[in-house]
Amino acid sequence: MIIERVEFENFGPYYGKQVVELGHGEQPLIVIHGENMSGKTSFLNAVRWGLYGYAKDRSGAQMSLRKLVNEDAYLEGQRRVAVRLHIRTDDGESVVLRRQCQARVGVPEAVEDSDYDHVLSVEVGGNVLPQSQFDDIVNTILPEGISRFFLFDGELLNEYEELVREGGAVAARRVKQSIELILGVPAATRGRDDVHTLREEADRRYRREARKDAAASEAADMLESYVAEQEGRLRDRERLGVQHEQTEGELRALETELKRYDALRADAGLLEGLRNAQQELGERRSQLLADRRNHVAKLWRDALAPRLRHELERLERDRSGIEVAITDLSYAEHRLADLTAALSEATCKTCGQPMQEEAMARIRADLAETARRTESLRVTADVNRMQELSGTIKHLRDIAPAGVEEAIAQIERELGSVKLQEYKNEQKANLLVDRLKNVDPEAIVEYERKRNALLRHVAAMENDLASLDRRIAEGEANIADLRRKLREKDLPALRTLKSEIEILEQLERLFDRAIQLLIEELRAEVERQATDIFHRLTTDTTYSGLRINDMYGLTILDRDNREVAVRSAGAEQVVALSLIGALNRLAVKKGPVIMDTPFGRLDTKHRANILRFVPTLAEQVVLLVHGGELNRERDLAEVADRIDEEYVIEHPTSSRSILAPLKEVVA
Amino acid sequence: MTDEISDVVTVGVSEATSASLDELQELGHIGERSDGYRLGIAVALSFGRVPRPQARKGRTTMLSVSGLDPDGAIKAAIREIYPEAADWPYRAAEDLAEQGVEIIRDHMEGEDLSFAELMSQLRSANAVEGSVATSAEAMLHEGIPGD
Repeated sequence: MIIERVEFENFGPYYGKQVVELGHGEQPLIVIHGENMSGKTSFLNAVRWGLYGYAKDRSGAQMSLRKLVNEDAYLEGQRRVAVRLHIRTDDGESVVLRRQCQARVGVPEAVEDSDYDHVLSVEVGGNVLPQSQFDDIVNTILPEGISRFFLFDGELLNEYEELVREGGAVAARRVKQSIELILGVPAATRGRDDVHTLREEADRRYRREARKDAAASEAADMLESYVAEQEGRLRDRERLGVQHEQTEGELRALETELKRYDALRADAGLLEGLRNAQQELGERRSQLLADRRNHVAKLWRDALAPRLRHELERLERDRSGIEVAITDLSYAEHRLADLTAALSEATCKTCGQPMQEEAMARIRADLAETARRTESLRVTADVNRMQELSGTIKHLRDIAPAGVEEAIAQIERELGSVKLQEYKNEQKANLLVDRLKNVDPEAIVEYERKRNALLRHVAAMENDLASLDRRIAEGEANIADLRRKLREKDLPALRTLKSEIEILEQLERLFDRAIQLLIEELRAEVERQATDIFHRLTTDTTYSGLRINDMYGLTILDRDNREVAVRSAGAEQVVALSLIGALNRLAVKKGPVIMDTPFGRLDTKHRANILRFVPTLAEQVVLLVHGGELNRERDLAEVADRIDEEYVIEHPTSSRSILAPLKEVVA
Repeated sequence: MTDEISDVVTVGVSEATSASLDELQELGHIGERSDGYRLGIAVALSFGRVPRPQARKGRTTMLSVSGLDPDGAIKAAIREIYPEAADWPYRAAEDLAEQGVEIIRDHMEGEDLSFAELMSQLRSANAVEGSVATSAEAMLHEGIPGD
């Protein structure tokens, strides 16, 4: 079967009505891209809820109807959620399933599931069937018991392995039953059960007839009472089995709830850690501010420094000018005296001859110029001003910088880091506080108390069941013994009936043996197919294959056929996918595979291997992927020709996701 | 003009500057109000702000001049930078503090204040040789806007 179209209304983050065409099976792959929180899991849940009436959150717990109804729609008064699935069966028949839940009129806040009315409708080949047939139709096309192998969260792919290993005998048995259901074993077991019923019926008739015979009546009476006792034990066994299963169900639900609280308890621990870190950062910030305040008290001296440096440079220039002027003045005064003497003597100092008039004129001109210059220099060469400037320069130099600027800069850099860290911590803490705001610590204690009580109850029931099973086995042996003795009496009137019983007994044993062989063959076939797929998916060439156990748990074998004890989360996912692939190959009922976040735990090579493999997994494979696990251009190119439809989840707000078709083809 | 101005023995603070100093102290940027006051004077001086001797109206007493300037460094700096204010250095200091605290206050971003950033701007303002001094001198000689 394939799902041709999904229509949903107000489902989770999808506001209003949305229609998603999933192709007509021309190509197997449908790829839906969406970032975290955009609505990928909600798409998977819409299909699951449409078929089976429940949706699961990431912890595997069932979600309430209130959580399924789109928040915006609910606030606007459209308190309704609906899903319609258009399915084409393997016989080409069209099946339309619709499930709707609407809040009851008059309920102010529709919080409980009981606050909603359920409406189901089913159409087969265009004919509307009574809604009572909804579950039968679903059971025919994709029974819930096998849905875990078709609709699954990639992150939880190893769930079945955990169930087999850690979920206890009942959980492991349930997985085994699901697997045998998908492989078609129940068709054989139903045959055996029918023969068993016929044999018991013949046995009853034989006992009834035997009691009429004087030679056998005593033994027949005794056998009758044994059988009656045994039937009582079997009824007790069935009743206790049902109770046990119910209690285990309650226990599982409680443990799921406690798992949720485990995450919340971890959140509370993180929050506490963040608060301690914030306190330490706050103390560090206070210390840094105190240190900075101490430096800031002296910073005014550093703040003055640039301006004072300017002033000092100016003053030093002025003083230097005066110093030069004083030197120049001294020279000019000497020159003036020399020129005046030369003029008054009018004789050349070198040759002792009287000076010519031309030379005298030159000296006079020089004297006039030197006198003018001397006068000018006397104004500039102000010794008092120079002393004054020296005093000022000394004063300004005394105002020494405190040298705290660099220390302040360093403190401020650290303050910046501290504040950034405080901001980041605050953001994280706000998220955690938000997650923890509705948690009642008393509820956790109460859940733990209930779990412990249930654990004791389950253990007591398992003891009772074991004891009952022993008594049933003893009873069965006694009955068989007595039945044998009774038949040895060779009552002529009962010879035909005796033959009938013997034939039925042989037939029952034959069925048992056939079923056993069938299961063994199927298990071996699952192991072969899973190993074949595993080799295609794994990148590790040192593995020789997989080994399957009685409960369909798979173990990786190394090249010496020794079991590999430890395996990574990625390996778990590859093994689980190998099993799913094998079951899909061997399934008597084929369905579409919808995988949410299938590549989350995988490295590049495993992702490429799995991407090449998934188109062969089923007739229709819907992949719900995010950008972090799959790069559209790079990763999808190789399987581009196997893609039928491609969508992207646009996510403008948390309650307005839109599934939009991606038109362009991946190159 | 300067001959008629006498100096002060205590420095004052306007209501607005007092509020800014309180805020700086409450936010932990300064230990004492006088630290901010002193830094204000230095910042105004380095940014080339010119003291306005008349602008004392409405100011309340802040602290004594000996408390403000125990080693006379502020007085020396003002006297040398503004020779016109040589006879009233603390009156000048008071007005420079008003202007400088306002600069510091304006430098705040929300409740944050980076003194390193302030110092960097201050150095930039003095990087062009003589720019601050020249503009300040020009203002002093040409008259003070707003007086």
